[in-house]
Amino acid sequence: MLSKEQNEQLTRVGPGTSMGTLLRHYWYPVAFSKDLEGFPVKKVRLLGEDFALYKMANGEYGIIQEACPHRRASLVYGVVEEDGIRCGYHGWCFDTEGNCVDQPAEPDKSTFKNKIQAFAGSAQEMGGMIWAYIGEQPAPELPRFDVFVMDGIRDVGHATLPCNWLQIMENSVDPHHVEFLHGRYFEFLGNKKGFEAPKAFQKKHVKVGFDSFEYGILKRRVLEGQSEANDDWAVGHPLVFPYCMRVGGGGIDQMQIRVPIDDTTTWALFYSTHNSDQAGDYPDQGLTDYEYQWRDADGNHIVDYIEGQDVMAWVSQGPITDRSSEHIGKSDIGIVMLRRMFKEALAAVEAGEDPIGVVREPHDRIDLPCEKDKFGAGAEFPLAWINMGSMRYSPIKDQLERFHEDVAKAAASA
Amino acid sequence: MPDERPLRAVPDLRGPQHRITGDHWWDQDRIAHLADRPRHCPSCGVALDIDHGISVEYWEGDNRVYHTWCKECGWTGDIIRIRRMVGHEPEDH
Repeated sequence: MLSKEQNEQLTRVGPGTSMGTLLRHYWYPVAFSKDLEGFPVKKVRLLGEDFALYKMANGEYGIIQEACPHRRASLVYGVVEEDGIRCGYHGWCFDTEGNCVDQPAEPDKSTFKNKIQAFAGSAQEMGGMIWAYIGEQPAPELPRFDVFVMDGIRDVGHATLPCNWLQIMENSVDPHHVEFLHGRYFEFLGNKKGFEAPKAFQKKHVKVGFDSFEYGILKRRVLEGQSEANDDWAVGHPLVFPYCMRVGGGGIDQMQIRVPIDDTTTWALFYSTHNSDQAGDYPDQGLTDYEYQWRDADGNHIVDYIEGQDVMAWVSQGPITDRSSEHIGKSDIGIVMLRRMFKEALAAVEAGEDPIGVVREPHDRIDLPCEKDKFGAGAEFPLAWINMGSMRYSPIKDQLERFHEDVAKAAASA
Repeated sequence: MPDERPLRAVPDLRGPQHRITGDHWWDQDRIAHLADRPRHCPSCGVALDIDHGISVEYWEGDNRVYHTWCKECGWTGDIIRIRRMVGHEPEDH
């Protein structure tokens, strides 16, 4: 249980809030690269603020407050220039740092433009997505986590969900939900509706553990029939502070991304890179993105697949769950640890320090620890994940299945 | 027999004028839990309010545990509110 005040502090993400200030120390994906290929401006919303994201002719990106400082018209309807964006209303032009560099209707010798500054962030492309930073400059490095920069087939399912991002993150340090939500409940549904739920998710947790590390919290589990020598404990997988979780297994490397759009809206993405040393020569096809379905025509949750079950658990808690009326137990200590980590990070920011996970050193790639043999399920795991997870909505689902079948055959004959 | 009296005296807050949100049957229970959480760091004594730390209540068997972190001195630990002294280490709660 948390007090109402603590709950407010940990869940409000807008400008001027404690958590909003902390979260503005990190980069976030705000669009797919292809979104700006047809037309070079797109409206995006991040941490309770609206922005115009744009792509210039040289291939670089800019992000600027949506409202023009002149008369507040939307810069989403602006003209992209060589080095910035020009308001479509009266032509005020802003460079990528937000400096006003032109006011066409003002007298030639006017210095008025020198008094005008728009808020501008930084934007970069990585892994087929555009990433934005809207905190104080200098911006930290955009962390090049392995999933985003490794070779492979990229498949990204996404949806905009009506709930606060923190209740999704708390799910990431809650291993026990797997055996019930994706195990027992899935089995119950299968029995009632005539399908077979995946067995790999039904194993009982014997032990769970959590370690803080450089990028967040490393989560470990021992399942019935396993030991600490198994990947699920010996390696585990991390919550990547403050808004991601790295998972994987059987040739699928995935980052689960929860972008706080505002207090009660989260863009939830499953960014998967399918790869294997055993794979043949699969051509790079760029990134395939699609929306996964989570509500049916009647407005009920779609719960006959893994991530749909997760979405039910996140969204049904309400827009911002009331943690002053929860009852958590010993099995929820990962959540307790995460809340403490947020408070420690808030304190670091208040002291003028970088919070955990902010990267300042230039680098090529950051490899995160992540188990390969997931739940001891072997080669069956990727096919179960594709067919019983959000990837069932992928337009390249058949190709993904063939890929993993080929990998399994190659491994068997090796 | 365990002492079933409330851990801290809680005023009678029944009635709509006292409800926190007005829509939960357990409001009374919630008020009692909030009243029981530690108010000061056990190490340096600073008030554990929103600006100086956090305490998160969770249950371990019959015990209510407050996982506590103090921003001022960094003290981190579990504070357990107990109803009775137990003279052995239970194998499992």
